[in-house]
Amino acid sequence: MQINSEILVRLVPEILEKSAMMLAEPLRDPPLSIDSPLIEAQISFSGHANGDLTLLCPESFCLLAAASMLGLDEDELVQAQAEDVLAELTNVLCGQLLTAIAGTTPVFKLSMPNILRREDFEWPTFAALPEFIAFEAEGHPLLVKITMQESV
Amino acid sequence: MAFNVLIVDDSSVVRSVIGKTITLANIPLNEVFYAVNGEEALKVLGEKWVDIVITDINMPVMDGLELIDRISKDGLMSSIPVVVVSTEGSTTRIEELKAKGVRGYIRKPFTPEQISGIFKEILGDSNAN
Repeated sequence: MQINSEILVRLVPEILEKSAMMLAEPLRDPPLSIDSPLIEAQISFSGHANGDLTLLCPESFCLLAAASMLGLDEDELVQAQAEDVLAELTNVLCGQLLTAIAGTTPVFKLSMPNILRREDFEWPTFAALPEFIAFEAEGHPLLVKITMQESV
Repeated sequence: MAFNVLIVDDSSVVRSVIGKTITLANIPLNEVFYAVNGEEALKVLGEKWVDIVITDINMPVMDGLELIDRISKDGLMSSIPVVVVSTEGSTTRIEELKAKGVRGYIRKPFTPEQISGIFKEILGDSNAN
């Protein structure tokens, strides 16, 4: 199923602004390295179509988003809150994406977000993959990928 | 009259954000209870007086749909308004929720105004009654 990348390009900044009051824009050339541990969030969905949504970002992005959403300083936050924020942002983005792609009639079942801590040296490998779209949010990079195929 | 609110969501960040929003919205609050899933929410409902439930749908252990079914089965739906705050965008699912007696639906990402607006709409009715 062809996913129009324009939908991602439009929705990711919109969701980040509404959810975390962060300004974001597409990034043509993501940085070759990141400055903090790499975190991945993935949600699988099924129903009218099956697929996954994946977000990859440095922990520094998650801490900034959490601080913004909770009205706290970053040094008041713990690792679990950073991961929780990424999980929730992925969850919200997935819901909005599925509606934008498939409309408001189909019902999808979403998995719980799966959070994985990766080695930061893996970042350039992911950033080079064409299926990921890169964004910059308040100086922090973010990679987003959606895979989708219609249910038989 | 001050209200007891139960917020049900597996995300600690969302629970905090909703809690802060209703605190700042000048809604007269007595206590705010929190639960991470439907099962915990039922425990709270069994032990505490709750005036309104705000719940997510997609949660582990017991999701929001099952929680709503259980509240309805226990005969509580008519006395405790339930508002769903979810990523769900399907009109089919939203109509299903309304048919189960859910009083309000807010889609994530939500604004503080949406949360405070629905509170005032529902609890304002309660005040008038």
